[in-house]
This record gives sequence, structure tokens and C-alpha cells, in this order.
Amino acid sequence: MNRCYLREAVTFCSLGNTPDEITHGIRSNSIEKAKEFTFGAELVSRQYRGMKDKRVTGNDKFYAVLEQLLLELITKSHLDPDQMEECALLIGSTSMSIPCSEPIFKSNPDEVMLPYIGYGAIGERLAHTFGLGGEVALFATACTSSANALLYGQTGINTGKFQRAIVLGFDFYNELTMSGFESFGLLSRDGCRPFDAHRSGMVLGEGCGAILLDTVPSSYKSQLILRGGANRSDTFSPTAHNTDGIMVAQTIRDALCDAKVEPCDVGLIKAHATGSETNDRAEGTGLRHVFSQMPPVLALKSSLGHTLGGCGAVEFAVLWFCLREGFLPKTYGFEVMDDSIGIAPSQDESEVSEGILLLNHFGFGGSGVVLVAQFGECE
Amino acid sequence: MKPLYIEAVSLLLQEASESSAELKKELERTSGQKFRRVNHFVLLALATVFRLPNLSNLDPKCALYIGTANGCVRDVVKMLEQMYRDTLLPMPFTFMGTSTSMAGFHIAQTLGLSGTALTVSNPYGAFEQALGMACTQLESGKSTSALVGCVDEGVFPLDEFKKVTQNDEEVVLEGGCWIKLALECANPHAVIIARESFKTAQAVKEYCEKQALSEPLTVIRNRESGYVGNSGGIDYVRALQEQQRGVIALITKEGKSRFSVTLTRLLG
Repeated sequence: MNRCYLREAVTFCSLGNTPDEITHGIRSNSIEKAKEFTFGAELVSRQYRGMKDKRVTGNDKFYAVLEQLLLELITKSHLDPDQMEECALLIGSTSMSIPCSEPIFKSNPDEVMLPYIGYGAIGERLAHTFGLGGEVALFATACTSSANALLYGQTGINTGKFQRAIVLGFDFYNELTMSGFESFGLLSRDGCRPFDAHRSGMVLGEGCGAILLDTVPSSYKSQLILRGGANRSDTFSPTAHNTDGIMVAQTIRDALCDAKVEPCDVGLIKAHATGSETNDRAEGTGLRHVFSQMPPVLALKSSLGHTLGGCGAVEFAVLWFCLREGFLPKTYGFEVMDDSIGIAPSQDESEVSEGILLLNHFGFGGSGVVLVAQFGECE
Repeated sequence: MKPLYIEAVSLLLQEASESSAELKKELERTSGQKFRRVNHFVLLALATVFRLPNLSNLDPKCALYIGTANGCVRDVVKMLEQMYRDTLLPMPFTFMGTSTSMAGFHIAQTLGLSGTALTVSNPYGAFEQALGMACTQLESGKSTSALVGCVDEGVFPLDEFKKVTQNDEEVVLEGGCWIKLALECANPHAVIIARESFKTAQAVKEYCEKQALSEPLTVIRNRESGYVGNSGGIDYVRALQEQQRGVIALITKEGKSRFSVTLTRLLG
């Protein structure tokens, strides 16, 4: 069975656009910005973490940002044309190309218009631009989209279906998404506070991440190996996992079993932790079902915003940058433990050199994806 | 590869309709349930699934793979119109409906499934993408059975929709298809006997010609048609329904220089 290495990663997010900017940003926790949008006839303002120095409005900028991201990944990886010919492209996103359509609708609301459609068109254009000749697939499973793409990439490499795959996850600012989450009352007015007793909802963010999974190790001293994972469906509610945590726990157990890892081997949990009442309760309860001794828990959405379908790739890349520098970042926003959940995310930065990582992702539509990775100086 | 058995297939093709009333009626009859607060895209997926026989004996870990070319674009349009034309508050239900994975959620909930549920797309064939992933899942032993299908809906006004999707046909068809796939099956309808990958169309052609020497071969490849999504899956299921013997070769372009051929033997 082939090993699945994280060979290279690039991400553009609210913390910055390079590993140095991002690791510096996560240590200093940049100030959240607000976005104003019209909700019905009312103009509302909500915290939002937009990408640094990049704005995606319209078709050209949408593709320009994604193409810049992929170009940086390919350049840093030193992929030659033959390797690109064999490379799969696996995409995960929630909003897809809505940021391209929305400005057109907004400027011509009385004209008949349809959005740019054709989910596969994004992958087809990007694969053509960069000469990626392998399988092109797009995952549409809400906030687990790019996590599912990572899991499929890992399975494909393990089984020899492909030698390498670029996993691209993204979600860019659009008013449809902001209004939609506002309509559910899920957007916080005072910041994301994962697992906190006074948590008040999510802060959305935008970002894109590209990860090269390969049978070949990275050029860095320490390696990150994707060992396995699982995806399951919780049919309790279309918008939230059951707060009894049973399906969350089952997904974690399946993932550990797939990776041949025991709960006591896990050294870090990167929680999904949106800061919403039910999501954090379901996840926290599920974690307590599995772990009698809780490993350190890290939540990144209070630093990055919730990048929705892109969060699997974006958060994986950000965590990788931190691990390469030998530290685990602290979780911002957490102050008071919710005793009914009993999870206290890491409050201080700590050193790390190796270990097993669990990466949780839970989204709308009952979709849950848990990935298991190993970090260290592997043989 | 391990043989993968097709236990049953279903197909739903209808002229694109603004109304979901007929779908709801059909679903009430076939599922015995009333579906409220689900959109047209989800209803199309559910109605097609419930045309499959013997759904009551599904393994709860049966995997679910749905391919779609365009997703639930009708609710995206509806929400943008509510926001910008009518300046109304967006409704939570409409926003939820813009998430394509809701079809998988409602199928899993209705059938009591808790295993893998994926909604996927591919520029060259959404059903074929879903089928390929399901085959990998079953061959790896992570699941023993899977429902594999595709669904796509028409969006109104149809003239605009035809322009955007470059559909030249007079009648726009919407709907989808499903197959019930398993590692073991008492009374299979057909069996997938091979899945091969190729780098050139010429290699695919030569492989199919070789196969055709030993038994009758029906070749299915994605083509333009009145169907709103990728038509390969629809044509594949139609061939499974209509033919009694021989082998069906489903040719899929998976990437710029990657093709796959799925060979399915009909079992009469």
C-alpha cells in the first residue's frame, strides 16, 4: 500500500498568503473585520475574515486567485509536465462560482439571469490551464467538501489509483452565504468562541488552499502522512449533528480504525469547532464518548473564520505550516469552559515534534469527515 | 477486480417542470411518506430512488453516491431573486436548498442510512464519477453495498437555461437514475466485471474492439442530448433496463488524458 504524503501546501486566507505571514498571523491573531450586506431591506454588519490583499468579485478574479494558488503550489513542488500529466485534481467548495454570478444579479436584478453553472466547469478549466491530466472530481458536501476530497485523495494514493493529487478547497465571500447563515441566526455578533460557555455563533471567513498529496515525501525535514479517515452521515437534522454525539463518535472511531490507530495514540485534535451552540455540543460530546483522556484540542476557526467547504484544505495547510515550525498555536476566543461539554481548547502555544493528529469536519446535510494524519520525521 | 453486482436500476426522465406536484404525488405513493420543505432537486432524487425495488432491506451502512452536473441551481436562482429583485429576507429553507448535499441527506434519512454519503461532480460525467468512487469503496471493503445515482433539474426560464448549458434540444429533460450495487446478491440483474484505465481514446477503442470479438458489446459514452445533466448515466441505466444479454461498455473521460471503461455483463 502506498503512503500518502503531504508534499506541499499553499493557502490564501485571512491570516496571510505565505507560510511566514500565516504563522506570524496566527501568533498575533489579526483583528476581525466586518462585512456589511443587505438582509432584506436592512443593512447589517457582521464580523468576517476576508482574505488578505485579495478580493474575488466576478469571473476573472475568481479564476485569477485560484490559478495563482495552483501556480504557486506547482512551482514550489517542482512538478514537471510528466508528473502533472499524471496528477488528479480534487476540488471541494460550498459556494462554487456563486461569487461570479452574484455581482451580475445584483447590478441587473430585473433582468432574467442564471448563474454560471456546471460544477465540473471549474475543474475542467483549471486542469486545462495547468495541464493536469489525471482524474478531475468535485465534491459538494457542504462544509466537509474539501475534507472529503482529501480523504478520496488519500484512498486513491493508498490503492494506487493515482500517484499524486492536488486537493483544492475554497470558499469566497458572497452575500448569499452571509444572508443564508444570518437567516438561521448562526452568525455571531461578537466573535467566534469555540467550545466556550458564552459562544454565540460563527464568524465566516474566506480562503483557498491547495495541497499536493503524493507517494513522494516532501522536501521538509518533518513529514505529514495522511493515514486514513472516514465519512458518515448523521440524519438527525439537515443543519446539525445530533448533540448526543453518537454519530460524531462513530465517525471518529471509524477513522481511527481505518488508520489503525487507538484513541490513546492521538496527540492532537484539530476540532471543527464553529462556535455555534449545537455544532460544538455535538462535536464535544462525541469526542468525550471516544477519549477518556482528552488529547490537546485546537480550534482554528476563531483565527481564520469558517471557510466552509474550503476549511478542510485551508485548515490542514495552516496546521502544516505551524507543525513545520514546531509549534501548536493557541485557540483564540475561548475563555470559560462549558461544563456541559467539558472541552477546553489549548490556551497556550506549545512545542511539537511528532504525533498522531485527528482532524474533524462536520457540516450541513449531516456530513461528517474525520481524517487521521501522522506528523514527524518518518522513515 | 471483484465482481460487483447490480441488483436493481431505476430511471426518471420528465420534461422539465416548474411544478413539483406530480413528484410529490408519486413519492407519496411509492414511499408512503409525505415530503414537505424539500425542493425540486431533492424530490427528483427521492422519486428516482423510490422507483428501485426492495429498499426496505438495505444495510444501514449502504453507501450513497450522487453525481450531478449542475446541482440544485434552481434554489440558488430563487434566493438571488429574493435578495436582489424582491429585497426580501432570505428564507432559511431556501438557503438550505442551495446546498446540493441535501438530496443525499434526505435519501439517507428516509432509508435509514448512516454510512458514506457523497455528492460529486465531474466535467465529463457526474454519474460515472459517482460510479467509479462507489466501485473503489466496495472493492476496498469499506462498504458492502451502495446506491449510485445522478440527478439534475431544469431551471426556468428554459430558454435562458438552454443558453447557459448550451442545450440545443427542443425538449429539456430532467430527472436522474440509480443503481443498487453490492458485493453479493442473490438475484442480480447485471454484474460489473471490469474497470480499466487508459491514456488515449485510441487505446479505449482497441480495448472495446477486442471485447466485442467475444460477445455482443453496447458502447455508451457521454453525449449531448436533451437531458440537463451528463447523459452517460442515463444511457447506461436505460441500456441495463432494455437489454437482456451481452456486455455494456461505459466509457468515461475522467480527465484530460485519462479514460476509464466499465464493463457490465447483463445476466438476463
